[in-house]
Amino acid sequence: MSMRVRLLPGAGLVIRTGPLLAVCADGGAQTDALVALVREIAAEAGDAAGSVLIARLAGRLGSDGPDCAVAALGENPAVLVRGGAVAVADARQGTVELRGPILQFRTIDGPLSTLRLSLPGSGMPDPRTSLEAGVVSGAGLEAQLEQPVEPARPEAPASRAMVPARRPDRAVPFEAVILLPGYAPDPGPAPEPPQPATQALVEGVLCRDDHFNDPDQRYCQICGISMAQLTQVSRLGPRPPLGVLLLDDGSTLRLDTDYVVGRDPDVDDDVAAQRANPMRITGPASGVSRRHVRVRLEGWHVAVVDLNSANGTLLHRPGAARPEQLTPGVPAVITPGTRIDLGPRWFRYESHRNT
Amino acid sequence: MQGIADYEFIRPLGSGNHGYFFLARRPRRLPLDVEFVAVKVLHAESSDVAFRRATRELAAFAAVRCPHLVTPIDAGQQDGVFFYSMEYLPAGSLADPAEPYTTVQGLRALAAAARAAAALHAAGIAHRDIKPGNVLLHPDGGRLSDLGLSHVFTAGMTVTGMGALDAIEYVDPALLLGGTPGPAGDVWSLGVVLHRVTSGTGVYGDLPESDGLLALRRVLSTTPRVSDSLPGPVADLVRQCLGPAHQRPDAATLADRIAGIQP
Ligand SMILES: Nc1ncnc2c1ncn2[C@@H]1O[C@H](COP(=O)(O)OP(=O)(O)O)[C@@H](O)[C@H]1O
Ligand SMILES: [Mg+2]
Ligand SMILES: [Zn+2]
Repeated sequence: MSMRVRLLPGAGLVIRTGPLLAVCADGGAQTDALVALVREIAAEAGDAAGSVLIARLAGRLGSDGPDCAVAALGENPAVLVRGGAVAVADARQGTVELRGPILQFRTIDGPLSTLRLSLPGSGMPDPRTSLEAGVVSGAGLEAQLEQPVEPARPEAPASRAMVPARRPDRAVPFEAVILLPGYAPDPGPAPEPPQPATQALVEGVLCRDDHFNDPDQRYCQICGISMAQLTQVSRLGPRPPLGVLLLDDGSTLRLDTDYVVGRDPDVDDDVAAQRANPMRITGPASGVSRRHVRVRLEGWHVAVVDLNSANGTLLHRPGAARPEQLTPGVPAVITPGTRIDLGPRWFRYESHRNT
Repeated sequence: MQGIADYEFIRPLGSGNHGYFFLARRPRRLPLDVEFVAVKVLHAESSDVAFRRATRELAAFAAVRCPHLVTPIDAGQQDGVFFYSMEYLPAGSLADPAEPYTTVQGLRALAAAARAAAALHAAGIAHRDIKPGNVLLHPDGGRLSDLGLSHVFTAGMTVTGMGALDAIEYVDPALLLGGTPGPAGDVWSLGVVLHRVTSGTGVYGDLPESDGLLALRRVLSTTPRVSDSLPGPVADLVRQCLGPAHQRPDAATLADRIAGIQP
């Protein structure tokens, strides 16, 4: 199915390469980098679905930078926006509109009938123009399928991420508990902070201020005091959280227990038995297995193990020139700043420990 | 306008990292003499386990008797969507006030919020989510609303991926790095809100509000800085709230000291 692309006049750059369409505000070197990135992803697209391409882009895009909007056509089309750019797509599910300012991306239930990517201040589509491929000046584009699909019923729900708190089906019975004095159920004892599934004991040493530390560290990881002059007697104590996992959608999860990461981590036996927490990947997740990778706490260290995922797991260690592929079943110890790629999605380990 | 359960929404009140707020007419089911209530509809998918844990935490919150806590009314779920209702405060929040507020009004609301936090702490509860959106304005000062519940819906979660992450500037960085929430973390947050109310700025400069991940990196890599524009005693108080956890004032002391500020 071919799309005809018309330009919206104004300042900026419009790009069409392979399955990707993009518009980016003028921003010097950052714009050049984006153009190069879009080209690279298009060149390596193979027959990957649009949603995968967009998620790849989202994983590599420094989210700080000039306004831009990108769309990937093909099976499972998807759009991404950042800053003041706007993407509007007409597809089976109706009109989908995505705007920043946060970096946002989402899959559209295709095929697309029309698509508009625009920067603030763009003009009306110029009917005389047509972009087959390449990079030209412009503040946006409007792409139209040569044979438009039937537009959708307007009430068809858009995908979860966009809808303000998914509308419940109000025909479904609801349950409710009144919290007012005299009505409220006795809450019982004060809710204890949710305990990590496994409160492991580890061997550690105390700094002068009694902070519990990894015996291999030369400075206290809490107060920074040097541990060198202390006579160190190690003892067993509950392991403090070793940092957080930061998912590409901005959510952070405390690393005080193991995590099973995937599209459906609840199928893991250890998650069911509360020996590990689930970290569910929602949104575009093709290429992510149901149980994909496990993050394991080993003493004072954090390791990742690929759980025989279909598409494998890549590690980007801080400062390393190229990513490394995990061998399924073999744990690899990671340091803070390491990014773990599961197909199009990623998460990072962040901590002030283990540096 | 939409609704949930037996609530009919009148208009949206705002949204944040955890959900959407709506103004609704009080359903007849509720034994309460008010016309309107505020209903929060959470982003997170609910489940029976999460519902039980969330209502338990809300019931514990509701059991804390303090005039400066927003009164929770009702919690429920329908079709996998969790909601709860609370008293409606027409003046809005420090983040989104119905009308601009003066520094004096802001400080009064914040002092009330600190008292409310102290009452929660005395009951063994950490709020976990003190930020301008959760300090509501009221003619008698203010109310603290809405305890953080994201960890109930996703085990281990400290920051949700939903919505703008600008709320991150109020979170004790120790929590962002995996520390356990507690009273000291709430005092940190109150300190940053105090800084915002008195100086109009945050303690990390302008965070990239459009980009949660970048904001998080910035918060983790920058030492908070107290604005030079703050009068000495206020600056000192903010610094103490941002000091080492065990040296921070407790919430009750902080409330007294905020109440004593002469702007
Ligand atoms: N009880 C209430 N009465 C009136 N307005 C409210 C009430 N609760 C919340 N709001 C409004 O909703 C806005 C969003 O709240 P916020 O706490 O930022 O979101 P979230 O709880 O999802 O993080 C607030 O800024 C406030 O204006
Ligand atoms: Mg709130
Ligand atoms: Zn120490």
